Parts: sequence; C-alpha cells; structure tokens
Amino acid sequence: MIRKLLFVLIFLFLVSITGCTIVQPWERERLADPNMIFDENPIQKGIKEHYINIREGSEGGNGSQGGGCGCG
Amino acid sequence: MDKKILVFLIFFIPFVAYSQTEPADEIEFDINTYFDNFRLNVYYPYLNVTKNLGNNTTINGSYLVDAISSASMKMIFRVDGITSATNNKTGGSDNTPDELRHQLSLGITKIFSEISVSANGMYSIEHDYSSKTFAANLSIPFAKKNTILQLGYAGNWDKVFPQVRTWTKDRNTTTINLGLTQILSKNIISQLDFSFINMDGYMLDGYQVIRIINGSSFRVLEPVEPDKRVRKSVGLRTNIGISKNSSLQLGYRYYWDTWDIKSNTIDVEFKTHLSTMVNMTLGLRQYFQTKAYFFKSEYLTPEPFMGVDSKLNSGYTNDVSIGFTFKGDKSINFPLLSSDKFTLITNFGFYHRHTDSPDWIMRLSDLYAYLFTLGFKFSI
Repeated sequence: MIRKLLFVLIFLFLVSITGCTIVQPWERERLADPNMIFDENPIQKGIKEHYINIREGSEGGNGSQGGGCGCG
Repeated sequence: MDKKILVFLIFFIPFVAYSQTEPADEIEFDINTYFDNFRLNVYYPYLNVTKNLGNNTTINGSYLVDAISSASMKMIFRVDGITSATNNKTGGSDNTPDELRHQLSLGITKIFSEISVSANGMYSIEHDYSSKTFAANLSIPFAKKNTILQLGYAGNWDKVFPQVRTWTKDRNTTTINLGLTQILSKNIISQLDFSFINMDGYMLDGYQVIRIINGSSFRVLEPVEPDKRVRKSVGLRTNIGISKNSSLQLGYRYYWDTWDIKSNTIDVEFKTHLSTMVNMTLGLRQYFQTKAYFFKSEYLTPEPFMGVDSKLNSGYTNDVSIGFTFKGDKSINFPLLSSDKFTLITNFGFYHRHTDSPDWIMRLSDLYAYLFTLGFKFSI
C-alpha cells in the first residue's frame, strides 16, 4: 500500500515537471531567498544525519544541497 | 552492472557538486552537544574553512572531534566478564571522556561552464574504529537552470578493531545517489532523491552481547548479523514560499533494505525572517520503522543470525528543533555582532525514540535526547 502511494507521488511529481512552465531568472526573487534553499547549512545537516543514522535503521534518500534561485 | 557504474563514476566524475554557485569564503566553528537518558554525553566541536582560489575553484577543509562520555558502557562492562577488557580506566559518570574520535576532511569544487563538480576525502579515527571516505558528485543544470540533475558516489572503507577482541574486521560501503531538483513555479521548488547503498563485511561494533536464558542459567554470546546489506530509499521534498519572509518545506522518505527493515519518514520545516538580521527555523520529524527479520528482544536458543541493536527493532521517533541565526550588522553595538561578516548560529533539538521492546543494555524502551548547537560563521 505504502509503496503504491509512493509510486503515485513520484508519478505526480514527474507529471508536474513535464507540465510546468519555465521560470525565468528575473522571476526568481522569492526562490533566491536563503530560506528556499534545501539544506542551506550542510554542516548542520551532516551532524543531524550522523546522530540519527546511529539510532535508526534507515539511511539515505535525504537529498542534497541546492535549489533556491535555480543557480544554486 | 554495478561495476560499470562504479568505473564510470570513479574515472569520469572525479568531484562532488552541490550547486552551481561557488561557496563563499568563510570560517564556521560550531560546538555541538548531545545528552540522553541512556547517560550518553557527546561534545563535538567542528571547524570548517572554505576558500575560493579563483578560476571557479573552491577548496574546503574541516576538522571534527567527538568526545564521548558513556556511563552506560562503563556500568555494563564492569558487570560483564566478556566485555570488561576495555582499556578505559576513566569516564562514565566522571567528567573524563571515554572515547575521542577525530575526523579530517578535504574537498575541492570546480565549476565548468554551468556544470559543477567536486570531490571530498575524509579520514576518521578512534581507538577501536577507523574510516576512509571518498565522495564524488556531479550537478548538471537543464532548461535555463529550472532543472538540476545530481549524480553522486561515496565509498567508505572502515576497519573495526574493538578493544575487547583480538581481531580487525572490514566493512565496505558503496553509496550511489541520484537527485532531481525542479523549479515548479516562482515560489515552489521540489527535489526527488534516490539512494542505493551496498554494505559488505562486519556490521557490528564488537561490544554487544546476547544472553541465552535457559531456566536459571544463561550463556553470553556475540550477536551475528548478515555480512551483506543492500539499502534503498526514495525521498521527495518540496519548498514553498508561503509569504515574502517565510517558507514551508514538506518532505517524505520511504526506505527498504534486504534485512526487511522498512521505514517512513515525514518532516516539516518552517523558516522565517523575524527581522533583517534574525532568522528562525522550526523543524518537526516523524519516523516509523519495522524490525530486521532476525531481530528478537530475547533469544532462548542460539540462531544463525542474532541481533539486539535497538536500531534494528521496530518503533518510531519524534524529533523537534528550533534554531536561530543572527546576522551581524554595523548598527549593533555588541562585540562580533557589530560586523556584517559575522553570523551567530544557535539550535536546540529534542529527540525521542521508542522501540517496541526494551534496549539490550539499558533495558529502556524510550530514549530521550537533547541537542544544543552554538556556533558562528565569519566571511573571510
């Protein structure tokens, strides 16, 4: 059930990508805000992942730094 | 097939990339602390220096120390004849660390046209464990940078040499990451991430023990875990700009592996600018996990595979955090904060883990941990 739900989510995500319009660089003021960047502080993210990985049985799938205005 | 992918990544992607913009020249120093009700205290200062060399090349180096004080380890080792051979003469309930881990890493990032590539090497050493890591990644933008494809590789070569044993055993880990970051609108961005992790070798730490209870007597044995593990996970997260000053990040991850552990993770992060100088981040994370197929809370007879580590048990965790960053400004009449190159970092976190049966060593089902971070960034 969960796996099916996941595939539906991924499918919706991919569909949304193909359907979305291009956001031009001059339209990315909001996206350029540091709050819009995934893992703005990778050091803090790494420290958090370290203590969580020691205490839980799962690992990976947490993404990478990036996002924001699309130039970062 | 795996070998072909590895060869490609090693020879054609010699660097790690996280973004198309060059990292800023800065020094970051943090003091992180961890305290829990299992009487484990960890202090880890962390220093990171990033320097732009020009010509689209940036290098960075970092140094971390883990100072671990574990009253629980000392207490158990005193009463357990098998594991009491540790060399630690101090620690536990006093203020002397039981164990120190040193970690040094060096990295380089280079941007070729719009493609960002980097590489990182890391070495970590403690009295009973060492680890070497090489990580590489490639980040390629498409569609006027509306789409970014990320490819990553990491290799870990670890050695386990517990003080209570006479042997040294290896553990090798290969990690492949695929990521896709997509701008969906002027204020929404999403990221899809897939991880594949292949582990080979000795998976234990050499200190855990299993008691086989038979009536009034018992035997103490070492746990036995499979020497192979393949772990996969898919994560999807979306960052939504909900107002001029605030954003909301929603994330979900599904994980599964060959030890039959499956997990679901949901996390939410709210970030807002309280003023031009102060930023606040609120985080909430929920995690649910099934147990490994060979995990049992009690063993009545020896079995081919036996595990007692709580992270192999079924259960759930809750994690909440709040953090503030204070950016310096010339209008502030306070040491350091009067510099606009200075940023103060603070964070407080609370972590609760519940397992469906008590932990093997402390005999508790609930772990409560408190985490503090105090640090700063300084632009150079």
